[in-house]
Amino acid sequence: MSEPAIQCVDVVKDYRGGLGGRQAYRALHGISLAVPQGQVFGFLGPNGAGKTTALKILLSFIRPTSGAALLFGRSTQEPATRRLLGYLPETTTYPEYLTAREAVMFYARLSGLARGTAASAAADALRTTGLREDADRPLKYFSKGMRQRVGLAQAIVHQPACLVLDEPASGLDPLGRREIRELITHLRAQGLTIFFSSHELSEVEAICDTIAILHRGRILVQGALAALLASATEHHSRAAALEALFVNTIRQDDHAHESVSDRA
Amino acid sequence: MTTLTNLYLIAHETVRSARRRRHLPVMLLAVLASAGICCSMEFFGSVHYQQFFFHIMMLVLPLVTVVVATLTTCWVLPQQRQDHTLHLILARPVARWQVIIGTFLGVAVTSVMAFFVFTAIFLLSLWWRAVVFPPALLHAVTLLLVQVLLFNALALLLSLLTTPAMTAVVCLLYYFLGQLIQPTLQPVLAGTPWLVRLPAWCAFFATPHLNYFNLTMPVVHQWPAVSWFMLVPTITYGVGWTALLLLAACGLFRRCDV
Repeated sequence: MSEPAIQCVDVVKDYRGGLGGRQAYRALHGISLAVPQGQVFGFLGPNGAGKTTALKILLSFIRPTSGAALLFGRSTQEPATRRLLGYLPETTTYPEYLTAREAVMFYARLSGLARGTAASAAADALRTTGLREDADRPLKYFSKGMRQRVGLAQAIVHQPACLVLDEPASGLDPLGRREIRELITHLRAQGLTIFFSSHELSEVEAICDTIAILHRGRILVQGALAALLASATEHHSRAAALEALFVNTIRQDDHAHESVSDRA
Repeated sequence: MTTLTNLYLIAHETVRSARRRRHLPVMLLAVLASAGICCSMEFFGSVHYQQFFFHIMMLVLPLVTVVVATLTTCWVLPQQRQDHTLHLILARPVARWQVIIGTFLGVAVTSVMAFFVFTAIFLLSLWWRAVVFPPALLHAVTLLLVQVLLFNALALLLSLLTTPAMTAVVCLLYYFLGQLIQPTLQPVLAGTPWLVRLPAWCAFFATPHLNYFNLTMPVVHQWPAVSWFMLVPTITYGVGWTALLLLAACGLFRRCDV
């Protein structure tokens, strides 16, 4: 069996506060997950569940208190490993004086592509994301949907093996969401592993192969989406099944948490 | 080669964004106004007029260039963090020290360009009023240039620890207090009880002494210039402090959460 594209091994993250850092808030309680190569992985959870913290550890923006995040078996703390990674944040404010081509070229060159290669790679990425006509317009004239597509173009410009997308369809209209979804489907067909963090259950249901549901810093459910939905679809349509699974999982955990608190 | 490319790309992008900051034209106007006022004056005798001109120049030029260096630097990383463009850079195969050094190079280039423009305005005004250039002028300008780099590094380090506004306030306060450290603490170091001497020693050695970069008196009074050889320790002192502050910034940024 091939190595997982993304692997989190018992990752714990404490945020310290108060005088001398004595007060600690545990954002992640030893989460472990593995994303097989070539799959679209949906990372779900309500607000404050710890999704962003987990993503930041995966991308090496923050260090875990213990445990490790690995990309193809290598630590993401090493800069060379991050050559395999493309990242689209939920929101990004690009410098408005840049054109789409300049912005994508900049990130292509930072990814280690030579000037000539970066130029052709940027043109390809902008064509893939449907921005070929607008490539030389300054970003200040771009709509939110177009900026999100620029974000996707910079994420794929260096042909990474793995894409991390944080709420890629956030704030987009239905047409924009559909375009982003089609792009992700297109990228999956090219063999990319996609780590997809989202609140939008319909999106996750439409494009993900495996999912994990995170709540209060713990992974409550993890597995193939089809298998997880199999039981739920007895009582619901497939579209509603994921919502039912998500809501029931969170509520059960909340209920268990309240019971423990009451006993304490 | 990749390291150099990354440094160049980050520095280039920093210059492009720093050029658009509004404080640059404001400071340019301040310099133009100061030089213009000096040029339009007709009172005093020629010697007094020259001294007056050099006083104004040596008051305005360091202050304005330190303000430019501080304001150019203090926003860069906090702004990139807020816009998430820092995340996009760090998600690439870029080491964190490259971000710090690349940013420093970018803000240093911007500040030095502004410094040369401001200096040129004053020099042109001197030339226009046919004022004799003081022998120590080039020395003074060189030391001010080193001071600009020092403030770039200081503001970059502080911008990792606090808000841009606080960074600017601390840097500007330090610009005034840093002139006093050496003259104030030097007498304390000799002949005081060790309990008093210890904190004085710490303050003396843990902070750069800005009075070393201040050649106002030799310029104003047209004193003969010392040899460049005598200037080397001061330049080394300034460059050394800049390197130390950058090293601290790299160490801090390597460990901090973004």
